[in-house]
Amino acid sequence: MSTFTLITGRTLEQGRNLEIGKFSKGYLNSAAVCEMAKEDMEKLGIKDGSNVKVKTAYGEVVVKAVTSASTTPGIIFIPMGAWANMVVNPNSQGSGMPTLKGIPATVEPTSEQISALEDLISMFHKKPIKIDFSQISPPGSTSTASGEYNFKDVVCCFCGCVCDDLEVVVKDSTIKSVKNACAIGMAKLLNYNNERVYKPMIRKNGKLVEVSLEEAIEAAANILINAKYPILYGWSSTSNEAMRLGVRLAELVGGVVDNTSVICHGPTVLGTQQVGVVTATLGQIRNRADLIIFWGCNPLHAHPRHTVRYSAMAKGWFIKGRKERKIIIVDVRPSPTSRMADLFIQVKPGRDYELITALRMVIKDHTIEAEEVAGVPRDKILQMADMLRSAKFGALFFGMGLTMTIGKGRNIEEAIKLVQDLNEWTKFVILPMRGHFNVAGTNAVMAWLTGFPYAIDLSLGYPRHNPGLTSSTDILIRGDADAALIIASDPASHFPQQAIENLTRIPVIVIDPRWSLTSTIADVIIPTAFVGIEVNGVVYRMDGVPLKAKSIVKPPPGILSDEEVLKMIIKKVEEKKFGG
Amino acid sequence: MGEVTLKPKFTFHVPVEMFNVSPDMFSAKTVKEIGELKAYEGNREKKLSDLFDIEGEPGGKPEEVTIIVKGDISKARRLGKGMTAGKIVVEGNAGHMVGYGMRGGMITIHGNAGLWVGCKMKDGVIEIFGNAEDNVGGSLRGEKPGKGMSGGVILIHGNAGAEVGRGMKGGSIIVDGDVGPLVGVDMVGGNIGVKGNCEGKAGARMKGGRVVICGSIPEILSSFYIEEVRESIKVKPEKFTGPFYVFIGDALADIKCNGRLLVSINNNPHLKPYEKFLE
Amino acid sequence: MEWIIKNGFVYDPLNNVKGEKMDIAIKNGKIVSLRQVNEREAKVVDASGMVVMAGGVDIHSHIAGSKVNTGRIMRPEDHYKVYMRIMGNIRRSGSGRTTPSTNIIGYKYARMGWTTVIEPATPPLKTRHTHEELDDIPIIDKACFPLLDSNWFILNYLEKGEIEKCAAFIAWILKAIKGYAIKIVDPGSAEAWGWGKGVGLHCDEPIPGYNLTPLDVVKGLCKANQILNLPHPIHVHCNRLGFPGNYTCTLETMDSVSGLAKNGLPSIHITHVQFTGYTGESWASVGSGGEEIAKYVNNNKHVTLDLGQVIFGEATTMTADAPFEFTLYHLSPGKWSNADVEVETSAGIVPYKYKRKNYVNTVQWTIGLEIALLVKDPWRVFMTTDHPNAGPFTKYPTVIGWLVSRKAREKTMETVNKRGLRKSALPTIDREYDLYEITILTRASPAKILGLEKEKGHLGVGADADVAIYNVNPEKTDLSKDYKELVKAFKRAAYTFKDGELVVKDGEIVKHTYGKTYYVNCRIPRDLEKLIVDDVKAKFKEWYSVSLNNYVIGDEEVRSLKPLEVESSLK
Repeated sequence: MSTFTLITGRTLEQGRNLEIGKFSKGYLNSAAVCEMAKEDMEKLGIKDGSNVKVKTAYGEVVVKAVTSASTTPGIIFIPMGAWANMVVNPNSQGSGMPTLKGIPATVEPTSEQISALEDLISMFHKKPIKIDFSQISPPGSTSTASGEYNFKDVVCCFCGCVCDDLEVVVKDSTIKSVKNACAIGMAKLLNYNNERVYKPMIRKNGKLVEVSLEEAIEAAANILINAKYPILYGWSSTSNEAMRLGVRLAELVGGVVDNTSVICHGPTVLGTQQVGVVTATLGQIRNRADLIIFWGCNPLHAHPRHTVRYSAMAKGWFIKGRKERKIIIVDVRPSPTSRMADLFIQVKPGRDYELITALRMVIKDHTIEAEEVAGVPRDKILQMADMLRSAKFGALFFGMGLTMTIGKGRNIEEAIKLVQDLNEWTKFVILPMRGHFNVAGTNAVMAWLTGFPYAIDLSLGYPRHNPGLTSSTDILIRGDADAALIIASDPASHFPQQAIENLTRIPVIVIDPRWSLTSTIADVIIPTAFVGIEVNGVVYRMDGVPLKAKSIVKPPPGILSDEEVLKMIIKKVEEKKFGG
Repeated sequence: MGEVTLKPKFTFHVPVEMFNVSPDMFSAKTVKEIGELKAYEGNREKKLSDLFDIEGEPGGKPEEVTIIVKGDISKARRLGKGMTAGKIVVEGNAGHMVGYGMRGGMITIHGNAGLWVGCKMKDGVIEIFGNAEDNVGGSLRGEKPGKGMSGGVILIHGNAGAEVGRGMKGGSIIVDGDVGPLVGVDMVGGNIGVKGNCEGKAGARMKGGRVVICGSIPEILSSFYIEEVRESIKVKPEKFTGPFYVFIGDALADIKCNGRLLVSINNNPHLKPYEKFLE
Repeated sequence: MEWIIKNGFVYDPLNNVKGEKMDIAIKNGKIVSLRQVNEREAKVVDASGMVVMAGGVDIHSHIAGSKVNTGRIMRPEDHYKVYMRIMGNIRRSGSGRTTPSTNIIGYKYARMGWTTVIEPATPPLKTRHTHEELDDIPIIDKACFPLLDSNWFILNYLEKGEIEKCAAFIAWILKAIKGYAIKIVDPGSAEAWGWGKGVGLHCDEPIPGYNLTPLDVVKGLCKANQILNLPHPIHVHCNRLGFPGNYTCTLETMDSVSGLAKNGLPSIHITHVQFTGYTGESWASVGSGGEEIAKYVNNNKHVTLDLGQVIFGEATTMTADAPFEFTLYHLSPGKWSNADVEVETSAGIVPYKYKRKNYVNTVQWTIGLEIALLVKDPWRVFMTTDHPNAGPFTKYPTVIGWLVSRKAREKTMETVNKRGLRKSALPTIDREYDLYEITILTRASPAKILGLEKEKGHLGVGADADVAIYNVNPEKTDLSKDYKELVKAFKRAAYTFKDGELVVKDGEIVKHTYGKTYYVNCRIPRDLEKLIVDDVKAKFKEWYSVSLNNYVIGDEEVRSLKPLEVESSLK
């Protein structure tokens, strides 16, 4: 059987449907998918749209095979999500970041059915609750406000672009229309009430039972205080204000506090720790950059307005638009974004490090002996190096293609060093494409409060940081934790299955506005309100620019903000630890 | 004589800090006093006697102490930290950061070890009969090259993970099995010998020292130049038989290229094109 | 809560108290007269044999904001060995030596008896972040200075000679981002650096793209400052920082505004003057320009300066002088960070170690002390280490030791590079500061130059009850001989009060509180304000990548905001 290289990542459809509803058919249809090159499907006799079983050394999963022009013979692509996580490589090579790209896989036709989301994790220790959404009815609006409000300069709460020019029309306390947002941002703002949780719950005898908020807070506090090594994970979709409370809570209960950067740009931190980082805000790039590189990222799908608002297509002060810029795209496959490239470099999966090494050599005018590096002919490397050196202002944007592949943090270290080297010739900066809404802000908060930006172990009473040891991914994969507080994220959908298996063995508290896959195995569920829709909060854009996300509608009755819930848990924990 | 046995009282679930388990900390103490030594079970401060059944009689000096751990301590952290002499034997898996900052003596692990074996080790011997994970003999994050292992010997009979010898300055690491990517990354001195295969990116940014790969490696970094062919090389305490391609590098770390990357000729036919650069 | 601090030796230069034994009374967070306190119910601190002064005021210390945080993130190794544990419900945890986390900053300042600290360089676009970090620093009061010298609005106004509009814009931006004073860093270099240029920009060299020189910017902003009647003069980091021979830049910069002093108040503050006080043509011949600078300052009353005193050991250089950091990265290869901020400014970070045996580092070490000891007026010199550029603020007691004791200086001079010492006048200087002068240097004069002398830097009635009590007896201790006792006393204050609450006792934190953030609310004519806002609105969309509405920071966003109300001279 021929072996493929499996890549996982974002797609526009997966992103959009995720916002519409994780338990929806649309989400399953967009995430339980395996994109393949036409030639590969023909060779294996797989019909477009038929089910296939994808197997790796780490697991197997049934998904739907679809022909895609965005892949290349030998490479298959499964969108990020719980289906992908059944087969990814949990090994983080001591970096905290599992190997979510570049995994050897086999594909064969199958008559088996695609599992529903919660069925994927039903074989583990704790049975996931099956949610009957038809039984859940919203409790009616809090607000008696009627009339139409037109909000301008609304801060979007989907991705690291944090576009702050959205226009939202709210009528009778409901969002009616959204202007200027991308498809995913719009999907979030128009569908945020889907699959919503309205009441706190506690798991009793395999069932989720509605309880009062006080009872849920008490249960959460007890779980955390009784734990010897709890993790407090997530944070990226909530505000800085909530994150500050999270660090305080982790410190009080002697746990590990960590955010989603562990499976995103944690390796970027690792690279920065070795060499620093040379960067600029997005406006500086928009105004001045005449050369844009997208390396291992697919902004058209993952950061849809990025090219128009900040980079390739954007109208800047000195550089007026696309015509005055050159675009280089480096990827393992012809991604949707690659079509805008002036130069497209297809690099062998897992060999970005080798390619960057060659580029750095050439830029310093050293000869390289090999005729081909990382699958790229030497001429093309020379051509790229020439474009880099002769730019007036170059900007390198990079994503999971560098952080998730073999090399992990070292890949980023080299990309940063490439940019540092280029500063001998011309002006050059690098910027990570942050994924989750406020992941950059929560990293910043953790850094100023503890000294480290993520994966912080407070179990000995002071901050310690060592991804590989203190990263929540590895902690769960090894089964080191004995309790988990999951907030503003869904690790059951995005961590490798080996981590989820251990998550089902420990008490889990979930704080989230919506049902997530993690909620289905939670022991305590506390619903909260959305930052940037129902609650104010400070959030940071991918370049560190701080913005104030605003409340434009009121949350449902009885639903508090993450901040308020965390304050209550902290108060309860302090009472139990230090007395009234 | 001089033996102290530790048996875990229960199966550890959360990380257990064992930095006080070393011949230096045990020597000239009674079993009762050893039991009073501080340990941590997750965030709970404990005594060693809370976690282990302790028996035996340590010697008066560290070099007269042998500590035997009977059982699985894969949740352990920093076993043997800073020890200067004596022995530790683990009849099972040891955890992470075994022999942190060790200065002498010997640690033997019959099972597998985790991350950062021999982290910042100065001297002594660590022998792992099973596999080791990543960052063997490594420096800590953010530290500049050369802050890793500076002396001593680490022997791994199984496989090792990524970044073996990261930031290493001296000493030897020998792996009987395969290693992951980035073996010898940021090293400034010392020797690494790998009898099996390497996943790639060997010798990345090395300024000095030697990395020997007897198995296969998919590609050589272009910051290395081929210099010669060699029949064999000593990586104390062993000798590796080639023949080997000898590459010098890493030109990006230091243009003087004092690092040496030796790669088996027989197991890497795809590297034959380099031979045209040899006179 | 009422307190009486009894029997201490009080040093209060702003009220002319020179070590007299006095009682100090505290009520409702303020210093009050003894009559106003109920002597039977008030808590008492027995300060016999101890020195009592107002809490320290640090005029320049990089404690909060984007580049400070990047410094933390890129230096995990700075955090492994220096940390603080959580202590019950009283003290929170943290880590970091030269890039400490927020709780450590507040605690360690308070433990030394410091109670007000200024973050001297914040990029307006990211100042919301600066305020978040300032809010998380416990105990101390604070303020921040926005970086304005490479701001496109400002450069355009200055180029057109529109000083009044420039002033109005400054008033607007101080209010918009809750800033306190005008910060100038290697003026114009950040704009040049937007194109990768600007390294070693001379005072009289044109800024790329503008018909302006750095000195034009300094003069223009000085005039604007005067028009606005801002409480603090322009705060200037001179051009060519870090270049041998740059002391001439410092002299030229000081001289460029000599005619602009108003009402006998200084017209310019030169910050971390050590870094711009070098003679010589190359690093091989670099020497101390301390004498020349001190001479100028002695003859010209319109200048104040702070030292930027070097401490041997690890430091982390972080400054808006991004081109300089690029240079330092080449001189001291290792890590290098940079962060440009659109339309406004930039920043660079390079870890650095000052070595005793190093010739250049020795010269650098002499300069700060030389200037402090040669300048005759202690009211125009302030003690800083430009934390963490020349050293961490936790070393202030060591600097005090050097100032009060020639013996202390000699001890250090024995360990440093001898050739470097010969390039400085320091070995020949006998002067020793007394405790009164130290008090001026570390609390009275910084409070005054900030315009906060009503409530900070003194212990007269009406002052904030920010009090430091040090366990050193001025009658029994010969500071010159036994400076180590003074250093020890300053390292851990016996008592520190903040707003009338006891926060430090016997050098340990006993209460976790939060202070307030000052900013300047400068009133300008309504119509002029509208003109400026229209100007800003017109250009904002084209220049910036955020909306103007989201740029402005609301009052409710800062934990405890205190405006200093100022009336401009604009009509």
